[in-house]
Amino acid sequence: MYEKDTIAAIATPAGAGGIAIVRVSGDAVREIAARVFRGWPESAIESHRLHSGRIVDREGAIVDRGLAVVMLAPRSYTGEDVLELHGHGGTAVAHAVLGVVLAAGARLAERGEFTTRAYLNGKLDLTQVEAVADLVAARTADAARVAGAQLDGALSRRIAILRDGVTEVAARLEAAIDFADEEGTDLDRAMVGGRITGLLADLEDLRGTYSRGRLLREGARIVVAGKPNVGKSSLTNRLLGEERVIVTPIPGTTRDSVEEGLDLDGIAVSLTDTAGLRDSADVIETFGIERTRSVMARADLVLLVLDGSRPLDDDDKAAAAAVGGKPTIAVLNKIDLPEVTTAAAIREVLPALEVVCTSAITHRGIDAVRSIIRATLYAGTEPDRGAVLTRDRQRLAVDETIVALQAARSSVADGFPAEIVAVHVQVAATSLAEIVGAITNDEVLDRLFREFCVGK
Amino acid sequence: MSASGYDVIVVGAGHAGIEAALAAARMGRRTLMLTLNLDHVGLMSCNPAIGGIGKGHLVKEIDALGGEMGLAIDETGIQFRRLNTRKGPAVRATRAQADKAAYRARMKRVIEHHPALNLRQGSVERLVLDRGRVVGVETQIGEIFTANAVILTTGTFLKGLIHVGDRNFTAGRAGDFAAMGLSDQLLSLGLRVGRLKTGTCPRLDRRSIDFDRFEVQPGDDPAPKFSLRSPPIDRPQVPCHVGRTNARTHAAIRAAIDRSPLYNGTISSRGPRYCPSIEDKVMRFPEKERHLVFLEPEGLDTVEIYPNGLSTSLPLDVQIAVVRSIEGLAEAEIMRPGYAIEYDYCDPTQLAPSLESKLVRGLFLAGQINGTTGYEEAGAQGIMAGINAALACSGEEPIVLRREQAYIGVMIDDLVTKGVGGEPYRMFTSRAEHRLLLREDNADMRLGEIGASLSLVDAAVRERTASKRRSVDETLKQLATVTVPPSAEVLQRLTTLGSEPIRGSTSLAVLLRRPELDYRDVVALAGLEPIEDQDAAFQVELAIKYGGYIERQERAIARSRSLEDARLPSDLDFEMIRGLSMEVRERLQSVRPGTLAQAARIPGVTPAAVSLLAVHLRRVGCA
Repeated sequence: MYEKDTIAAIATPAGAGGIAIVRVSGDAVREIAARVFRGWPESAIESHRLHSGRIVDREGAIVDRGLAVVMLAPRSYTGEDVLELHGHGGTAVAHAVLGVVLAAGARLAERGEFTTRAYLNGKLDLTQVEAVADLVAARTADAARVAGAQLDGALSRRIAILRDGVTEVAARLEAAIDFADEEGTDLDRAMVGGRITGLLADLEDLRGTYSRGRLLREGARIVVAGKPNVGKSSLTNRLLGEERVIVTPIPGTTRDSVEEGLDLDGIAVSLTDTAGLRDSADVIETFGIERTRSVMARADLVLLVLDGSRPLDDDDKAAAAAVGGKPTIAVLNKIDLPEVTTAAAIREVLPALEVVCTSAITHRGIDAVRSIIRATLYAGTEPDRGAVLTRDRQRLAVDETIVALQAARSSVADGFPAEIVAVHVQVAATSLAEIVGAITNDEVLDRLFREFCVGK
Repeated sequence: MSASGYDVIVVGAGHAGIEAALAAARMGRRTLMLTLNLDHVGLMSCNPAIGGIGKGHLVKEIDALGGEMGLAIDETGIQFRRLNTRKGPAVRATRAQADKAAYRARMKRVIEHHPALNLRQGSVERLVLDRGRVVGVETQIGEIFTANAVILTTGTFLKGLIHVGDRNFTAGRAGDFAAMGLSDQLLSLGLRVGRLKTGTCPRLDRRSIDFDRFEVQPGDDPAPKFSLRSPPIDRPQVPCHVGRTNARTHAAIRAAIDRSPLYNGTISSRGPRYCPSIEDKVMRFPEKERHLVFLEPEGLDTVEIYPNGLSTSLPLDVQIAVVRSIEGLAEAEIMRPGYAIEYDYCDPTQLAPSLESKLVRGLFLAGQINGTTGYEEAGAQGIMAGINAALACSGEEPIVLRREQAYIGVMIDDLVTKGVGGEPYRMFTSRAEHRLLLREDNADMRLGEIGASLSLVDAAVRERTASKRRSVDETLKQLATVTVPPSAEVLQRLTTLGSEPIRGSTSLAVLLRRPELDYRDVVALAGLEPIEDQDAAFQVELAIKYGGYIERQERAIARSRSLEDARLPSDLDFEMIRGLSMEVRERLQSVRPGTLAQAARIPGVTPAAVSLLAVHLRRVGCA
């Protein structure tokens, strides 16, 4: 019989390191393990146990010394037999180890193929596969925590509970339709309506996690904007904690947008310093200003920097207007200089904005800026309790489920027959199933037979 | 001994066999029907009723294809009811109590009198094969009959084993021999043969029952009929009666549960969950204090009563105690004991959607041998097997009904792709994802043309269906184009009908979407005459009132439609598709689905595996 081919790859990052791990998965793992590693116990390879020994080539010549472990199916990441060889972390030696594994019958894994196999073998569902990618890409501890919880099945479990609830409603409807002749199968509209309302509350709750999940997974774009020479670049450097952007007293020094990443208390922030906004005859500066406008259009949050040592002028007001409807924090900078414009004055002109006073020179107020940024980004998001929607795909499916269940609830309340309510519930079930897998009619029937004693 | 040649041989004369033999004979094929007992053609082994929710749908589909079941029950039924009348039209269904003896006699008469059909008594022990093809059958006494196609409709007869308490004996059903040889041969041909279990109720003597202790359940007036071809039913109907079990019944069962073959390990196969024995109901749902019992007459000329709900294989002394614990049955006499029966079935995933075996050319299987239960499920497979065996004789393409076309299509697709999963398969409306489209009331519109094209439906019926279709189309067009103005007269009429006023000129179709208005109301608003064909008017009303929901349902299904259409090449080597697990590959190799959607419905084939198949198809340029 055809054997599933066996794949291998170096699992640790490229370059020199302490340890390099070569991972192998597939039906030929036992055979490959026996051929490339000397150090297994006499009797038999024991699953999930590390052994130390030598990694050898076809001629038995030593390639590296290290540890090896076999994880037999299905108790492995991919759900297949898996071998890991832990050798020394050098580029050449790691490739040599990979080479002997390939020579022993494995082929080089394609990108993501271990995870694909885990999915195909039912070890991970779709949300967990997404979590693997998110975990690897996570730039902050909070993002990693959310991805880790999702990988652990937090979202899968939450969806499973919701699907169970939808299946139960479907089973009640089907019992009312297919076993109408019997006792105890009448459609209890108040009860079914109540169940749907409960599901909707849970779904709304889950839906509410998306803004935070998205923030943690995708991070936030923050743009530092304002008229020239108010200290945008200095403020950017302070927030980044390094002298990244060139700062001079000459207005218009920053001609182009400069983007840098930072971990702002758990949120992966991309901070963009921009060219000052003003009417300019300088061609390059004009390009820069145009660029600033387009960068602002994509921002999640704008820091509008104002100069406290000068009076507010038309350029400031124009900059404030350019921000448009984006969430904005007014940063009143240069408070180390004699005060000309007060926070109160700004609140009068720009009443919608929160104002924070800073000195990019003395670092005063920088922590306050950070905490206001964090508060603003988190505003309206729910604290996560495990399951968090992190992707637009998931949110859309939850939205569709909500719409379908709302329709189901009104059709129950309005006295529509069970088979019409069932159409809406079926749509809800399908949408929900798309997040993790598929629902079948058999699930509904199983449920029905479990809960109702039917059959004359 | 004799060696007469037939086109089609049907083995078995139950509900599948009858439809199969009649369809083949009516399509002009020389047909032989072989059965163990000529007195038992069309015997109802279990309850004396035809139809029900999902099942009535099947009967109407059989009828639209030109089958016999609807006509027979209309002629021999003694009580007719519509179920689910308070629900929408899609799930309303017809059910009738049969006079078993009259039903049997009528079926035998039709079989005997068809000129192309021969009826013979004989027990088929062996298929005659030639180079992997079935070419005939041999009976117990060595008679050989040859044919181009053989249809097995053996019901529960293959190695049937009856259990009552701790006693068991071989039988096809109580009173008939089992067929012991055939399933071993099927096994040797590579068919996967498994065991299923079902059961039936004891029969009671009507004269020993106190009917005053029961609720009366009368038939509907006027009686709803099954067949388009039947005259109206105006004979008097007989009632059924409804009673309940009680604490004493349940105590009697619990006390004797270790004597039940279902519970002491004698029978390991699981019985149907939707048709549980009374001991199953009591043990699995201990919180339920009572279960319904329906007293159904077995016929007009007999005193036997079928106590529906009391299926059991407990020992006879316990059956007596259980029956007599029920109010009104204190003096009841059991005339035949209830029993459980185990029998061989063949895994239907080894069948093509035509119901022909994928392993043995020319061999068709229909009915309980495919793991289903119910007269209607059997009849529906029977007519399709008969049609396709007849077509195969002349080398024509089989007819395969689609899931959105018929419950028959749903059932056969379920059987050949998913199998039956350890318990007999019964039709439910919830199995049909296109439920709103598959109604009893439009079975003729859905399938009549197919029945007519096979000459199974006569010209008059065909013309009636065609004219109904024309009226529906014309009326829909009329309703969409004719508008009424918000004139004082129209507004006044709307108010009288309890409907909101209209603001501008409004089409009749838009008005008909209002729940409070019916077809007659809206045509009257425009001063038009309603069409005379009541059925057509009803179809029009449904098309408009149900339209939005049907659309929504179809949209939800359309998500998988691209799957439905992607055909898998019949020579596709699933072994070659990279990334499929061994288990999935084996499932796919054994079922050999025809489309991607069929593949997706196979248990164990994950969505991920389906997407791999889709990728593979795109790569090789099939989809």
